[in-house]
Amino acid sequence: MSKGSDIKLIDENGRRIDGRSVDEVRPIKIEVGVLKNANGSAIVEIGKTKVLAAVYGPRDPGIRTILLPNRATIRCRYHMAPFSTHERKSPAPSRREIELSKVIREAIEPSVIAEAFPRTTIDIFIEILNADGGTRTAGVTAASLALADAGIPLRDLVAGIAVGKVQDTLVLDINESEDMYGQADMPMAAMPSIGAITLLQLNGVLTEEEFMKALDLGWKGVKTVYEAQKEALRKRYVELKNIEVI
Amino acid sequence: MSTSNESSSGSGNNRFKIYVSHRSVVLPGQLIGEGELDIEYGYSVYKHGSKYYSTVVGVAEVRENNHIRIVPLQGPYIPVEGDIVIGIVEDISIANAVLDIRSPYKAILPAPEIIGRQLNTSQELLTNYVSVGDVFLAKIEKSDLLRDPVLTLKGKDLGKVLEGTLIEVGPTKVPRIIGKKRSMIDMIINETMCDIIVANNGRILIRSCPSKEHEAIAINAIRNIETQPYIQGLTEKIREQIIIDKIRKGVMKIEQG
Repeated sequence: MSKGSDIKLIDENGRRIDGRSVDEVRPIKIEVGVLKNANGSAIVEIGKTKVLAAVYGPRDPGIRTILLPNRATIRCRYHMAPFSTHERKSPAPSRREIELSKVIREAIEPSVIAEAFPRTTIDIFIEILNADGGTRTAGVTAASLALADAGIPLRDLVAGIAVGKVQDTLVLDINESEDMYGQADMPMAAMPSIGAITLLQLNGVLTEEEFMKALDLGWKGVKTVYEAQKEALRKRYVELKNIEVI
Repeated sequence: MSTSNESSSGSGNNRFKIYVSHRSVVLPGQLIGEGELDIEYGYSVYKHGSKYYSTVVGVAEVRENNHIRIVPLQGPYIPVEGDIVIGIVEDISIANAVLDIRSPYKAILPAPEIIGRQLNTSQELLTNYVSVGDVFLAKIEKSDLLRDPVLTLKGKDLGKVLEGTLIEVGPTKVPRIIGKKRSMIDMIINETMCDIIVANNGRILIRSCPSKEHEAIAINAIRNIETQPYIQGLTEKIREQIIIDKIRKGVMKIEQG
């Protein structure tokens, strides 16, 4: 990460390079249940970032050694498609992808009631179709929706967003340029209805005061994403007017 | 915090609050209620402090005496003792067969259940009696999730399935296909004259139909229920659809006058 870059990321009017204000989230588009073969799936678009998540399970993995006697094992694979970046990305899992798979799994795990399915695995596949910053948080958002779509019990949906610092200003939902040329980025994910943060990373330097401000800004973004998640999930099971329960 | 659809409080003393209305759709993390509620537990409800949250996409059922139940709209089949399931033999070992019951857990069918007596493993093989791919209608005898569920064939209609058509639906749709007091399934059986067995794991066996057309009508009716499971007055709609199908397929003629 370069610090103090010459590239002007915020103009005199306080507008960012894509025309947003500092506390504005990129347009969000979410669709749930997009894959037939998966038990649950979701596609999330935040600005130009596009992420597909598929959930398989709970299922028998065929590998007995990874099973736990009291809960389901959650496995997660974050992968960037070769065509997702400007230059072709090798499809082989990179160090970064292996690390992000773990980070996303740990962000999702607190929300899953894994005790419901002992001795099984829940497999989450996250495929980045187009990368423009915030892929890990979009991955968390999509994975959580795919789990809900698969009918796996969750304490809450997990929504993710990244806060960044560019030109000494805190900005919400950073894109690739802001991530590359900014001073800091802080991805976070949380379960808003119970007020629990499940992912918080910080790359770069923030003062204590800036950190607290960034956290507040992050919560604002998380809630925006959360509302979009709920709307998408509701839309999938819409038209359930005159529901009759047996 | 989750938005509330409806708020009501206990008989004057505010000992409980309910935030969902009857038959409303709930989402994971949605606040259902708080306080002294009679909530039907299971994994579809989660308690945090004194508050209850839904954990699944489901339908809230709010009954009298602050009784709440969340019925999931999606989910895997988890075996419960006493459930009737249709299993397909996947593997055969020395003393039992392993069946796929559309669940994360494979079911065990012991040899004595299949052949009706103890199997003398030193002299005969279980493969003489059962093959991979055989279909069994069985009951879950034991299931505690710590070990694989064990099946039994003791009971009415249980045993090897020799004929019929097998279709699969989501396990959460099974109660709707059966209907209140079997109203839906009995209606389909009466209209199509097929023998239909709906297993709890979402496999449905259709057999002894008068003709191929009758079977197709029954399958179409079940598929229709699957696509719109929570519509009110569905039984009548499906009955109308069956009659239209019957006329179309020439099974039933429109009476003149």
